[in-house]
Amino acid sequence: MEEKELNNETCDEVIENNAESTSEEFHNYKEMSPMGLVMRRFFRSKLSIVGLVMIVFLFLFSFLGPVFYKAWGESEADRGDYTYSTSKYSEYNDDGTIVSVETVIQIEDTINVYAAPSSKHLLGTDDQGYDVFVRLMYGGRISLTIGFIVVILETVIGVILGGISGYFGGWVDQVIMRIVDIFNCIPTLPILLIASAVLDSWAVKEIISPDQRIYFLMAILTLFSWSGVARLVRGQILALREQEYMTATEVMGLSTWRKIFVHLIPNVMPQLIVSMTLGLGSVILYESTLSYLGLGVQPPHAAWGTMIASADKIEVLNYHVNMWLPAGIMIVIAVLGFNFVGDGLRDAMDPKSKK
Amino acid sequence: MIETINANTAEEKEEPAHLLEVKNLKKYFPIKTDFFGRPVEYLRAVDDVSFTLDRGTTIGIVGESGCGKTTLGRTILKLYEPDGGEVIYNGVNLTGIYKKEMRKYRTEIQLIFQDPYSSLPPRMTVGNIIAEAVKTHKIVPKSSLRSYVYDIMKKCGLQEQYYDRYPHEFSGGQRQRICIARALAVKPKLVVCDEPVSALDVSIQAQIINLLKELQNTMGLTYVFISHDLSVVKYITDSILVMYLGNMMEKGDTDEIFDNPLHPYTQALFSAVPQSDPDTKMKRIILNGDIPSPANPPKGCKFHTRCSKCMGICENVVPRYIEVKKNHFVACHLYDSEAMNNYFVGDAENGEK
Amino acid sequence: MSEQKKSSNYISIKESRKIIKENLRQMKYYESLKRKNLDPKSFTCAMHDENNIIEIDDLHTCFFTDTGTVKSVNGVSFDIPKNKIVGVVGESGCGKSVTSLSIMQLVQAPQGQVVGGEIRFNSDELGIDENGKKLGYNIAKMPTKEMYKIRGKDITMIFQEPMTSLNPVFTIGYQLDEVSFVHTPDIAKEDAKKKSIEMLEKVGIAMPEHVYKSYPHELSGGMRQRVMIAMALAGNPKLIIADEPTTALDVTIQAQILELLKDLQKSQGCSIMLITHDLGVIAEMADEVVVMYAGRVIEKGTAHEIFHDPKHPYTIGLQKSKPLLTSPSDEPLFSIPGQVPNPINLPNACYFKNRCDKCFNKCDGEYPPVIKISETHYVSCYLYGEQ
Repeated sequence: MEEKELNNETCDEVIENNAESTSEEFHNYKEMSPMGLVMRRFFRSKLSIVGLVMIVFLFLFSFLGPVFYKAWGESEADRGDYTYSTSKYSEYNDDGTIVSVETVIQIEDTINVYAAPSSKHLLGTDDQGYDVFVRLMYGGRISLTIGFIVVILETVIGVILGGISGYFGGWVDQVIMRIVDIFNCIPTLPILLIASAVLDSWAVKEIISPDQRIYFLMAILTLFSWSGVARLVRGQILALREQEYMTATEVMGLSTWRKIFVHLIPNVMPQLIVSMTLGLGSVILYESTLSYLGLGVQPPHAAWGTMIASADKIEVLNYHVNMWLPAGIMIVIAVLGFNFVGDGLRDAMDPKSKK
Repeated sequence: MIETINANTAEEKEEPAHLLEVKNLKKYFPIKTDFFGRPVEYLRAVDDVSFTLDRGTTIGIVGESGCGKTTLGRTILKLYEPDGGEVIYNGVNLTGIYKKEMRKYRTEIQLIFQDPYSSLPPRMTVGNIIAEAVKTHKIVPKSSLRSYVYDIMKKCGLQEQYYDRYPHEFSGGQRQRICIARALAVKPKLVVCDEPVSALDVSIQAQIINLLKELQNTMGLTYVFISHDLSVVKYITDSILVMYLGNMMEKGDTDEIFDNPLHPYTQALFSAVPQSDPDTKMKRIILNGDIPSPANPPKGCKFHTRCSKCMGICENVVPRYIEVKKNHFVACHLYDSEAMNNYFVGDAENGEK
Repeated sequence: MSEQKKSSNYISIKESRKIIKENLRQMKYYESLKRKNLDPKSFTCAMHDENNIIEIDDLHTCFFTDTGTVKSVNGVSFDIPKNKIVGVVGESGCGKSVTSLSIMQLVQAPQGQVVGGEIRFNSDELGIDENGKKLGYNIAKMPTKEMYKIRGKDITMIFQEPMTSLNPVFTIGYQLDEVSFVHTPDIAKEDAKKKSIEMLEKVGIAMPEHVYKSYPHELSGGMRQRVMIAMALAGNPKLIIADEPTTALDVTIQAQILELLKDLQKSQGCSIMLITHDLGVIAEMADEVVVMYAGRVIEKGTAHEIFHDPKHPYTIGLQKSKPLLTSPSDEPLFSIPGQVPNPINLPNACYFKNRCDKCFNKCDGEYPPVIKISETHYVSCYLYGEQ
């Protein structure tokens, strides 16, 4: 009898030890936090790494670039005695046959405009004699800063309003969601155009310098984009509220503050991060569009959009590809990069959606 | 004002006879509202349920899906506001008190969930999950918090190194242990177990049942054990309440009910449990039809549509609760000769008229 | 120290890349097999016993996951005789459902693949081979196109969730008629309807015309399960696979459905493979029982043998850990300690040894062989044999 008991005991011990060893050998993911798991899945996808590299490159290029490459300033024209040639197309009807004439004009100037890429100007200069390469960096600063500020602002507003709406429900929810609906009805681009025209024409001009105009556009962009975030957060919180662990917090007698900020918001974060990264790309696009239309960043400040806008002259489009193509490539890199990272994060956070 | 008096008297009285007393509890959910949002139709999830529960004992709430057993458990916890009746915990009437006041009792009544997957927050470590409420209610000083949590984890069969792990790393059984540890960390007196083992495998079920029983013995816990698994209920409870469509059907001591089930529903329920013996095929009562929708229950006795012993009276008159034996209540006309007589007398009179 | 431990527990990115690459290769290979136009001879084979409807022989089904290959079914062999109910019992993750899905060729592809073994299905269409043995299909090697001829007609399946296995946007009648159209394409609409109502009557539905016109959400869980059974019976199947058919139902409804299944099995003369974790249901229904653990059959025998003379410690423990209505409530329940092992990279040893209370030194050896206890009773355990 005694022996049997002893046996049992040792056997129990063996079982415990074995259980431990098996779990350590086979549970490859032991001791990983949910965030760690997400990162692991994220880095497994090649596309998201490519996206990350693109974004890191952009950041280094725009923010550290001007620190190390000080040859030219953002709006510092290359002055000296230069000659440059520009050509003009003209067509005229000569007795039924259309003759096109290309006139090449040589101009002597004190500013080095339309310079071709060289060791002095890596990507040449534009029509003002500004170094394109340097302006690309400064344009990146503007785009990324605006992107981040707008996305952070819209997320803060969206989380607060969406959170209130989802957590409290009832008439609060009704009111906030109807406001969201109204904002969703307003077409963003026309409104931005109008706003910018208003800023241009009215007396506002005296109060707000063109330098500050971009901040107003940022505010407007934020105003029109928070509604999507609010809707997302509300939906998530409604779903989370039904989870049993939220009932558990009620049973535990936790405070409302703790319930919202410790149990609800962190669980919305994954979706938020995804929507933020994807949102960054679209904000950068908006900014470029506005600048292209001449409504965003005003010269002499650099912006990718305005740089592309220089291609509206046919000779620039034809002969000075170096002036607008790099900016276009930058926008493509930025938007693609943020979308790759956003998609990668979404797949990493919700592995089920992948397959 | 009245509430404070109540609370004061409770403190003076010290130990009331029962830990929990549920009196004529009702919980109706509105299912149809009129234009102004006023409810017109109700789902009577819990309709007139009463029982008492002594310290250190377990009551089993048994019934099929939609019988209101989960709603009953949550109404006791005040997760739902009752629409009638009283929940008296340790001499204090919980039904009338405000949310703020209720927080004082939150630690004393705890809940263990059915689904160990959705009941744990996915982004918190096991240690934090267990310690969270302990911190909020300042149950132990901050300095000894970690050792206190270790102690609780050990009691629930969890190893210390699990403290920094996340719930997704654990299997269902382990997760249920974490849930139990979380509930017990705040030193509750009453624990409502809402189907705590039905989501687990058989071999793990036995582990959890043993754990619950052991904890009851060492910590003097009182359980309200909600389950549809009769063999588990039989094993763990002292008394049983059988529910059907929100109503009590039968109530009594476990042994008495299992030895001598009176209500036809209880009898059918017991006989429907498959036996783990292929050779003793028992004669079973197979109920006809489905459980009626709780939103539109039958008139009279709610069970009459499926009852094999249904009589005329059952379709019209709601049966009373009769104490057939000491502590054995049943709501069935078969055992209520008085009501039967009245009914037939009434019938006869009607006939004469 | 902790750093070291961590690195040994994680799969490095390099390793996981390798796993993914290898998985892709494997999945491509097995998928291509399914699409090939094979000579019918290559997927027919002789039945070992013509009284069996299905013979599963050393079946291996794997899932290629990002963390490694999961051998969900790892060398399972058992037979399903004609006109019998075979119960497959085991805990979650033991491979009982994957076995049934392998029979149906419904394992979630491309991650899940049948990688080895035979599933011989006794078909009347094929006749007899030169040795006088009856020919059958080998489902494990059958291309998907050929499988359509068997699936849903000769072998049908009833799922656990009656709530989700019916399409909510079509009426019950429409969905039942559809089954008839699949089996007999030239059936007239009226005949299909007549047949559907007949089927509904057969499964004990009181108002078949009314149910024919209703939508799934209008029916209760028990009714829906009856409809599912009616759909399964529509093709006059030889084998019905019931995967936890009553787990989502209440006890009283469960009793009804079990009774119905039993009656139908007798009247239709088909076999049922009943998969469940509930020993009570198995005892009630099954003629033969297969006990599975971690992807392997650990014990099989007739119901009488399994319930009255269980041999494997796991079977014994499983039965003891379920409280009975008759068991005393003052002593603690018997419980099997520990957890089911993780199915990735299982060592070649008894999978149950870490949880077994009868574990002895011999158990450290390789996986125990199948030992014959009687004509019908087999067990995989070192405790027996050699005597």
